[in-house]
Amino acid sequence: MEEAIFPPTAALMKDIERERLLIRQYLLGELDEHEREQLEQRVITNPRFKEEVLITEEELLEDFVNGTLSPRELELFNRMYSSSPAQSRKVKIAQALSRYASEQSPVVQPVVHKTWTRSLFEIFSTKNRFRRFSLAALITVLAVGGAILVYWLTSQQWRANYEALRQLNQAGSEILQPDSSVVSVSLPALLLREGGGEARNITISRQTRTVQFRRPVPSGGTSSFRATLKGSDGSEVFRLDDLHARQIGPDSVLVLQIPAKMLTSQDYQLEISERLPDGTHGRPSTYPFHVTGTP
Amino acid sequence: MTKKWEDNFDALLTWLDPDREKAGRKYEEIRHSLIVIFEWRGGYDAEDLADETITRVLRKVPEIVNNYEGDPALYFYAVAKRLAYEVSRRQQARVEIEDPEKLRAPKVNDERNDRETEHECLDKCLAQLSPADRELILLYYQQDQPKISYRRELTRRYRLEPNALRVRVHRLRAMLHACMNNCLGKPK
Repeated sequence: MEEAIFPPTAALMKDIERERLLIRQYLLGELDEHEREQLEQRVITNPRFKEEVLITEEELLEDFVNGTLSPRELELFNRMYSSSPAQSRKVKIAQALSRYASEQSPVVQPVVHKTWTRSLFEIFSTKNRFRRFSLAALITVLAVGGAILVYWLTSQQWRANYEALRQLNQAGSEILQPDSSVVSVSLPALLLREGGGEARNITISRQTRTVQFRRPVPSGGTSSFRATLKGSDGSEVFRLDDLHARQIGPDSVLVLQIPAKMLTSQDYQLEISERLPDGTHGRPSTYPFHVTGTP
Repeated sequence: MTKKWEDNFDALLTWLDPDREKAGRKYEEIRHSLIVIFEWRGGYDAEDLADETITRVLRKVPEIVNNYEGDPALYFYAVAKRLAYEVSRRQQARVEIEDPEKLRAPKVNDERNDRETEHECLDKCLAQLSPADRELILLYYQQDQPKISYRRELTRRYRLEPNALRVRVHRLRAMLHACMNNCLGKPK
C-alpha cells in the first residue's frame, strides 16, 4: 500500500479502508485461493505492503485481546491463531504486553491535555534553532505589523477628527448654540501681541462634543482668516484656512468650532491671522488656553 | 557449505541485484516475507520452511537466471507455494496424532510460570527501548478511553500523523516481538 498523501482525499481513504478489510480477511482465512495468492505476491514483492499487513495483524491481535472481535471473527481468529506455535506465540505476546501495560499505569505519565500557557512555555524554551529563528521572525513581523496597525488606526482617527473639524467650520455650517454638549468661549477682538494674554481655562466633560471660539471682527470686512491650534510643545494640532466671519445678530463674528475629541488635558495656543491681499497672512493673534478634563 | 552452494549463492545475489549491498537487502526482505507467509498459512517452523524454499531456489539458479523474466521474488513465491502444499499434507497427519495432547487443558501452574516468564522477558525487552519509545508503546496499550479519541490524543502528544504513529508503534512492537521470541525460546 502506498503511503497516504496528507491530507488524504475521501476516495483515497475509502481505498485504504477497503485494502485493510481485505488484509483482515486474509489473516482470518476468509479469502479464496486466488485472492490469497494475489495478496501474498504483493507481500513478497512490495515491502511497504508487507508492513501494512503486519500492522493490520497487530491491530487484529489487539482487537482479540480487548475482546472486540465479532463472534464470527473470533471463531476464525481462534482457528487461524492456534494453527501453529508461531501464531499462538503472537497472541501470547500481545496478551502479555496488554497485561504488562495495565500493571504499569501508576508509573507511566498519563496523557496530559496541555494548557495554552504550558504550550507557550514549551515554544519559548525550545532548543531547536530553526524553531527559535522562526519564533524570532514571527515576533518581529508581529511587532512591525502591530506598529503599522496602531499607526494606521491613529491616523484614521485623526483623519476622522479633521474631517469633522472641517465640516463644523465650512461655509454655511451650523453655528452651534451653547448647551451641555457645546462649550463656548469668547475671544477679544484685539490682543496685545506681546505676552499672548492670560490663558483661559476650559473645562470639558464627557457630554462635551464641541468647543466653540467666537471672536468679533469689524463689520463689513470680507477677509478670510487662518486658525492654527498648537499644543504645549508648539506642535501643530491643526490648521484651518479660509475662515470667514459670520453674522450673528448685529455682529460680525469669526466662529471656530473644534471637536472635543481633538483636545486633551494640556495647554494650547490658538493663533488667528488674517489673510492679506498678497496672499500671505499677517502676524497672528495668539490666544492661550488650558483644557481640563476629557470628552 | 560446498563450493557449488557458494557459487549458486553468488549467482542468486547477482540475479537479485548487480549491486551486492542492494542484493543482500533484497535477499533478507524475501526471506522475511517467506517466513511471515508461512506463519500466516499456519506452517510449523516457518523459518525452516523459508530456508528450505531458498535452498530449492538456489539449486535452480544456474538453470533459470539467464532465461527468467520478471521479479525474482515471484519465483521464490512459486517455490514456497509448492512447498506449503507439500507441508500441509504432512501437517494434517501430525495434527491427527497430536490432537489428544492439544485438547489437554494447561495446568494452572504451567500458566502461572508462563506468565512470570513472559513478564520477566518483557521487563528485559522494554528496558532495551529508549525511555520515549517505552513510554509510547505502554501508553498505546494503556487506553481507557475510546480507541479513536485516544489515538488522536497520542498523535497530538507525539506530534505524529496518524499513519506515522501506526508505523512507529508497529516497528517498536516488531522489535519487542523479536526480543520476546529470543527470550522465550522457540515456540513449542
